[in-house]
Amino acid sequence: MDGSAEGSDERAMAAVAHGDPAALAALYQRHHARIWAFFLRTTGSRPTAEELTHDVFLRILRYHASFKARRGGFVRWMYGVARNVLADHGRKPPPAAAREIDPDELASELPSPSAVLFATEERRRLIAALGRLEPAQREILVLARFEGLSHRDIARLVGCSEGAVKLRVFRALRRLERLLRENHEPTPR
Amino acid sequence: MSRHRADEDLESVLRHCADDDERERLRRLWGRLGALASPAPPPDLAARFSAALHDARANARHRRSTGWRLAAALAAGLLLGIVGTRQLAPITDGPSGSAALELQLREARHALALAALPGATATSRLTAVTALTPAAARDARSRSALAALAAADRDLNVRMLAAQGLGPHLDDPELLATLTGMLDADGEPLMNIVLLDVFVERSATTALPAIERLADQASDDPLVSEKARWAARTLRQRRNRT
Repeated sequence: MDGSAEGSDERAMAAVAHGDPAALAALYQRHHARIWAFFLRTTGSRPTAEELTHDVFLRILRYHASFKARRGGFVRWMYGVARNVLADHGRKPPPAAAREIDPDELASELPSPSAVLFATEERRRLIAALGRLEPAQREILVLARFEGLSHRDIARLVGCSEGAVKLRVFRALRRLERLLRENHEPTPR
Repeated sequence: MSRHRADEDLESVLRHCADDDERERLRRLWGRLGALASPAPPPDLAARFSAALHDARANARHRRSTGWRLAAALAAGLLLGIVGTRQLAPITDGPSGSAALELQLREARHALALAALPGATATSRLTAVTALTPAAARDARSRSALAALAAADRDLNVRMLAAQGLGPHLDDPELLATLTGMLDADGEPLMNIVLLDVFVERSATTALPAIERLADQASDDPLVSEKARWAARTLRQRRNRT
């Protein structure tokens, strides 16, 4: 994580604690897109991603006093809030059927409308396979691959050792590969 | 995370692979995952977040913590467009001027929050307008907030004071259009008179059509009709002179 950005976040949190609404607004503008993307990748639903993103920033506002700058950076703390929100969401009664990520929901992941058909289909299969991972595996892979968090940050975030994070990422990656194979995805050479 | 650190993290993951073949496959898979473009949130997400904040505040109205006051202020700020990726406008004055301006803008920011609080009293909002007015010369967000208050505040005195505060900035065509629109929309005779004074004082001849419409209307208030006719006459004379 960028040190200056982290310092800026911490100053913003201090300002939030002193009642400065512009500081929270700055945090929202700086981070809502990545939090939204995190939820979209873990839930596969745009409406859910939006709802959970709102919930994260409401909780940041409500529980700002629990942020301790010296106990780790803001981004890690924010992802901790996001994981709690995700966990609470997971405890809600599921919809009629167990949900898998619909690749169409993640259509914006596709590079552009002009992408060649093969590339589009390959990405579609990849996203679909990602959606069939167990939620915990999907989460660890999303954190490690898409959110720019180091293994050390993830370890502190999820409460395990760095070694355990590496192993979990490896298992998630291997599982993803198997899911692709099961879907007759040719392994690229 | 730096590229170097990311590479190190990946290699430490791939150490768990059974053989070189698996290591290469998973490395390629990792690369393919990284090639997926980041999805972008909908552009109106901030506005919907603002609405969510309002709802949350409404659901917890009995709670008067700083957090909920902040929520309301932020929500209003998002709606007013004062919250953006841009920070405060760059300050180009000398050191002492910068400090004064910075202080002024900081005060204006608090005033923005105060003005945006739905629960704030009319007196508080009047105080906020007073604080915003001097900052409006340099800060577009203060002008936007004043325009919002002039157009929509439920208290006539707040609307009038905000409209007066915008007078010096009528060279901004959007502001001029906003105030001209108020002449048609705000039915309060006193507000109309304030607006007419502002237009004449700033020689805003582009407001003439709206002023003439008002002058031609059979207003219930003869003072407004008379004032509108006077304003139209004065502005026509100035336009003809130029």
